[in-house]
Amino acid sequence: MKATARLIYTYFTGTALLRFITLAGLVAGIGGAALNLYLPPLTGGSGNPTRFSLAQEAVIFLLPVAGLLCFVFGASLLPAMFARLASSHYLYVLPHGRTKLLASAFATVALASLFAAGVVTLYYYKTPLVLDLIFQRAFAVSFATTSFLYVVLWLTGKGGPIGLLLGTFVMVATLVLPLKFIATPSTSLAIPWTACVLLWTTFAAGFLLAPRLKASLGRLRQTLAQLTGSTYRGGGEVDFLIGTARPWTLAAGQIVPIAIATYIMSLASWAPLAWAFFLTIISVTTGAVASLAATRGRALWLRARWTRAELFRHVENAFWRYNCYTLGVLLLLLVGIGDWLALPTRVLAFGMGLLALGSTLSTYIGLIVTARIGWRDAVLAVIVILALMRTAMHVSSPTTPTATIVAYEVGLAALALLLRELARRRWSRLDWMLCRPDTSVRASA
Amino acid sequence: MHASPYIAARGLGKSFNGKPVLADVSFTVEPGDVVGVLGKNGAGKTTLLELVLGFTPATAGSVQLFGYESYRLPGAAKARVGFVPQQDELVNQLTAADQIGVIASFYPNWDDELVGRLSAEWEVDLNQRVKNMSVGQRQKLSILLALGHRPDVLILDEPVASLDPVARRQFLEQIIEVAADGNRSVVFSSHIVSDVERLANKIWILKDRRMYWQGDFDSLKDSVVRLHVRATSPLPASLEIPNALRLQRNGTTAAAIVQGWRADAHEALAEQLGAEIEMEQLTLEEIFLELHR
Amino acid sequence: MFILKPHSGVPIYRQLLDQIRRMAASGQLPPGTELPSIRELALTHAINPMTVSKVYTLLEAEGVLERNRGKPMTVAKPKRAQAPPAKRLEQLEPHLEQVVLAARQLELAEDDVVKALHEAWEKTDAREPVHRRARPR
Repeated sequence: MKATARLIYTYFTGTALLRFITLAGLVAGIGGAALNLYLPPLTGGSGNPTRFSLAQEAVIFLLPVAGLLCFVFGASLLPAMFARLASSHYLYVLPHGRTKLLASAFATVALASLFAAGVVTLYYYKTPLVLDLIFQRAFAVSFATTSFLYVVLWLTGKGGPIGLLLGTFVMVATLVLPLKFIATPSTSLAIPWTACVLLWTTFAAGFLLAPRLKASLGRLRQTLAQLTGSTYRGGGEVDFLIGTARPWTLAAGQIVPIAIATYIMSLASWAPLAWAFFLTIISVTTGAVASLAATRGRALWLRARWTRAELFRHVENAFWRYNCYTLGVLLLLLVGIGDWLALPTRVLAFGMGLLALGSTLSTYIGLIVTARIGWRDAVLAVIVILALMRTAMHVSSPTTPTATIVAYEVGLAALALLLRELARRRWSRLDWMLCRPDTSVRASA
Repeated sequence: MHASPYIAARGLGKSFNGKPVLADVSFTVEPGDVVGVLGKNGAGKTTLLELVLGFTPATAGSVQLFGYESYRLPGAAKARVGFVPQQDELVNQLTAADQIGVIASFYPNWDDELVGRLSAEWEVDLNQRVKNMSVGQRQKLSILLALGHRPDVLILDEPVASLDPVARRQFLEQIIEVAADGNRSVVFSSHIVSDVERLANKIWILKDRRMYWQGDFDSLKDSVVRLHVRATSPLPASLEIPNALRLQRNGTTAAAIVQGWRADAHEALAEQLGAEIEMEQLTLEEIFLELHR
Repeated sequence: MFILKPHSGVPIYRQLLDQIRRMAASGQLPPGTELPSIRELALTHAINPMTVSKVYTLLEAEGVLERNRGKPMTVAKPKRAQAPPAKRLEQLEPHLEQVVLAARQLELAEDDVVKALHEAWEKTDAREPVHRRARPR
């Protein structure tokens, strides 16, 4: 009990930044809820609502959502810590280690879901809908999505800080999607509940039985490794050292979230916008591997006769080869599912361009990270993603003129060239003392 | 010993995919023992320690910890075991204090005072983030995590590989404190033979995946010795010394490494060879090297 | 109090055993002297406490040391008079043999070696007032 509580507490407060975010989330959530419930409508000086007072009201309205997002991100240490402890010897030695770790993950997801359900119920407070049902529905859906979100966060977190940043964007997207699902009372609750139960029982069973399954798991991993060709083939040194030797894992890994999103969207009839949005976000995750290229490049530079500039060119080429696979899969899914959802051809056409741009931009953003990630890099990454999302909105909207979309995509291409130049400059001055590899990166490399 | 042994293994063996990694190993560890595990890299040291702790099931034989099958060690028994892995498994984002706090919460009896005192003595900054620590600091932290709950059995896999001599000595002193208790045992594998020499009262030497030698450390030192033979006339080419691992002849002198030496055989051998024989005892490192030639 | 070399060929327990026996026999450790506790001695020299314990137990059985309940081990009163010089010299033999061997290897004359022994004796007299006996110059 003590251990489970301590773990949950550490997930939310393990670093100074997370502590701040969690606290901000709680304050914004609770405070925002109180304000929304009890504050009378704001008015300007004349007794009528003004633009300013409306803006204020909008902020107050969105405060609980902001609080929720902060709270959910506040526990972003969960995937990293869970993975680290799960793969360590400690789990065998700590009394009831496995059970307590599992319980802590479950409880954290439940807490986040409660918060989410609370926020959703809050928004339906003044409507005639039955609050109880809303709460239940919200909780069920949040539980499924929050579990998924932390998994995404873990996968992208393995790609260093940029990966984490990208992962949070995916999280945001998937947080927003199910809201429509909640609001339509006709859709059955059985789906999310079954999903939850299935997901968690499989996960728990696998996790708790892992020691007994270790032998067979090891064999499975070996056969998979052989199938995906991660064994060394002459000439692939660059790929091996940089980490681009296994494009198929990432490519295949994209299929699952896309499949889930498609299913939910087909139920909630959101198709074009959400679809474009989602795919764009997914295309961006290829950048996660790129962010580690600089630290990993040191090993390559030591062994090859390249200057830093030449190193950059080789690494860049490796990533273009790598991205072809992931991009290929994404494009297939785009066209295939888009066709099934009966999306207009224009959306498909420009969507392809958008995905290609997404991969390119994220790769170069990853390559830009040649030292500890500063706020400038983070801001740049955020700008790029927002630009991509704005373009996605235009691509999927039937009213936007073609010329605008073309302009946006051309603009993004130009941005990509700019980022490339920036990355090239930075790599020519790479100082490996500044991008010392994190030991967990070393361990997983 | 009246108390039953803390660790007992019989015919223990382990294979991966049909390849044997450890075969036919038997031993006991009594309360108060300090066991040094020596062996070349790949001899099976880490596998042995992992089998004892129940990380992996044995493919042959059995090993028991506190009387329980290691692989199915119950939770309460786990609270009496401490383990320091070869490579640290700390969570990088946390501070040392948080890391300690998380591990401590699993144990019903954590000695905060001990950990606090040792972290000050060993100069481990509790407010520093693990990812900013040097390798030595991380190793020290890993050791602290295994000491806090005062385990009855402490198992360490190359615990001092990255520590400077000052830190190593501090660590040794702490192990002595643990051993002085009399009811706690320590099993550690190390390449730093001088440390093992000081601390161990039992030695296990793993060679070619088997337990090549095990037993009391003092009797190992008495058993493997170097003999210096000095004769007045050149020694015969067919010179044979019983139980010799190595024999070097040089005209009227010879040197031999002998295993299984007994003091009462000294005079008899001198007479038999018609030469003066001087017996030299070896350091543990020399013994280890000679056994591996 | 003791000089222990863990990395010489001689097992630590044997070194400690010999030293305590020697010092007790020669009077350097007079009867009633308190020896350090097992833990203290182990920590000071960074050796296994069981080694110390083994030595203490052996010496207690021999009668060289005696255990007092609650108090540390002390040097026992010799059961008979202090061992005669001849017996004590026996303990010195292995060391003498080593010196002779080294001297022969260096091709030194016996007289030179004896003179050197004299000088070494004088030197240690001056350096260690703790173990001093009055010596007429």
